Amino acid sequence: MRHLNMAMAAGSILFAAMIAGCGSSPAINKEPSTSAISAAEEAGASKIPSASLYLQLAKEELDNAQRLAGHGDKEEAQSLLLRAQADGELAVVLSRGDAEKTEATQAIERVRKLRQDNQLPQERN
Amino acid sequence: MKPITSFIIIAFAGLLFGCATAPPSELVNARLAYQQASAGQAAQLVPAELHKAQDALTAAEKSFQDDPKSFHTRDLAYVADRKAKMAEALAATAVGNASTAKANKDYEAAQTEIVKNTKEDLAASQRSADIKAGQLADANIAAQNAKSLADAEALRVKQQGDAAVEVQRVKDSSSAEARSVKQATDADALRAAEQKSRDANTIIVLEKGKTVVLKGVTFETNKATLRDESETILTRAYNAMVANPSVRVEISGHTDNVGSEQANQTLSLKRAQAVRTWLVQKGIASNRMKTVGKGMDEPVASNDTDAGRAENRRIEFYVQQ
Repeated sequence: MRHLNMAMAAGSILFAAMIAGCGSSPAINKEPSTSAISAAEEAGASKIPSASLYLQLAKEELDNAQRLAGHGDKEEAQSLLLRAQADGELAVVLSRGDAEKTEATQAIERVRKLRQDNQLPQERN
Repeated sequence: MKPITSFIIIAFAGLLFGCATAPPSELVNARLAYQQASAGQAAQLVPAELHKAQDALTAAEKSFQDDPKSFHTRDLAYVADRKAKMAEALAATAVGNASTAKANKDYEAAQTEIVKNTKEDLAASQRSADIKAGQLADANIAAQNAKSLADAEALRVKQQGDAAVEVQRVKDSSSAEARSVKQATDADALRAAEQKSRDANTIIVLEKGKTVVLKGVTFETNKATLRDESETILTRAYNAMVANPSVRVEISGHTDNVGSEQANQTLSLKRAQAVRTWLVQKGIASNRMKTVGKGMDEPVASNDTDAGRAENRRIEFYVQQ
């Protein structure tokens, strides 16, 4: 009887350890991907043709990663999140580049008009 | 060896070769993207970003050697592709920034050139005014000489006894007439001064989208030199600009149809610039006013009469904002 109790206690401890082991398996880290996607949205990527594609890809990859994680494929999900982060960051860079390009065009036009209005020769670039 | 045997051997060898070496499409794309980025301006403008892309590609290549078919290899290659694209995009942005900086510098240079031209116009106007002042002084000297001669002649007549009474009568008459003329002149001057004071206190209303004709701004014939009487209306315009500090105006010059179209175009622009220069010298910021020469293109009256031509020669303010 005493041996039986000891066996039951050992079994309970083993079962608890298994449960604890499952519970402590590392969750996927979505933060870098979600941050990159948020930054891209704030930069207006959805309205810029060259950037919107990559923003859309980043969102889809994040969704897929979450789905894989839900099915237990956490390693593959974590790897896929690298894609989401890279696409989000590229969307940010392209959005800012578009804004810079617009500003440069406006600055050049401002000079051209000033020179035209005052009958000065146009600069040759 | 039979042909079928040869085909099987080649196909098997190809299959083996393909399995051993064929990289995933992500890695192929990453290699191309890095090659393209490193051949462009990224190496010079954003070397750090290009280096990150190179590191990412190296990691993908290593993963490919260790485990060619793993999803992680494909994901690392995908990231390397994006890093290369990022480096290229950042290089393009750096080029855009340089263009903006250059354009801003050009804008400042153009403004400096405009101020220089305006100063030269002013100096020319000043020289013209000096010449006229000299001519006026010469005329005064000539008048004094004439008066001296007349006095000498009067004295000679007076010395002739038989004409003394007549001379006195003539002098009395002249003096009375002179007094009368002087009184009339003084009255005219007083009225003009009062009118000038009233005009200066009159408010010009600057409303967005509206055009205001600065009636009373006049120039010397065929020149962009402001006449003194223009000061009254210009003072009103100055007061209006001060009272509306956010307003920006387009100053346009207009001429009649006398002379060539090109000459009138140039003259009208210089006259508009002269008005802006006057206002800038009074303290109005130059970037609140742009100038344009309309030449003879926008008459408001007939050019067949003197009055109509005078009306067509004008300066307008168009209130932009």
